[in-house]
Amino acid sequence: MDKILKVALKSQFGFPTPVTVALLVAATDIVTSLLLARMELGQTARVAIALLPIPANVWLIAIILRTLRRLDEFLKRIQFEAVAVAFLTTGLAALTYGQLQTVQVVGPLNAGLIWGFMLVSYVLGYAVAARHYR
Amino acid sequence: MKNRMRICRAELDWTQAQLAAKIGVSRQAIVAVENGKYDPALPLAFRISRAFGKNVEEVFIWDEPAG
Repeated sequence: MDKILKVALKSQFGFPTPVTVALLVAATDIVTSLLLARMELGQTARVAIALLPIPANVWLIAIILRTLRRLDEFLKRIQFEAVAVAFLTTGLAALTYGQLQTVQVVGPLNAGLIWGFMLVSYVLGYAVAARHYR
Repeated sequence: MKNRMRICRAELDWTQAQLAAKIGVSRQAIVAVENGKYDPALPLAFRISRAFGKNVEEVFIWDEPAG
């Protein structure tokens, strides 16, 4: 993972790096979630705050894509396998949870948590792929 | 696909990191190709071979499937 970390921490175009933008996105997500949970606001303001993280997240997507394009073919293969694991396990988890909701075994779930699940399964997928090719 | 990368590196007294730096890929890529865990695409195979000053066939050996 050291090469990917180096690329992530060092931007070709100077500041900001992918990690900096990821931290900004995380901060935006946390702050907006707290505002929505703890402040009593009008509906229009709540919708505006709910949509506030979108620009930073789009920026992060662009920076991650740019970083991926700079990786060599082997690291791209590792990333592909990690993303495939994340995509498929998240799909399976969402489907299973939906079925359990239908039979009323589990209650409603904040759809935002899916992102966290996908992140964890991506890290696991990356570890498995990196080990496979070692 | 087999390869003679380890021998070629030893002849030139290069480390995996040095070879990786010369052809502009990660050291992980060199380790995976050298250990036969990952078959490189043609452009990478050519770059590795050229770095050693050899033809692709001198570095990478195609294993005919049995049967």
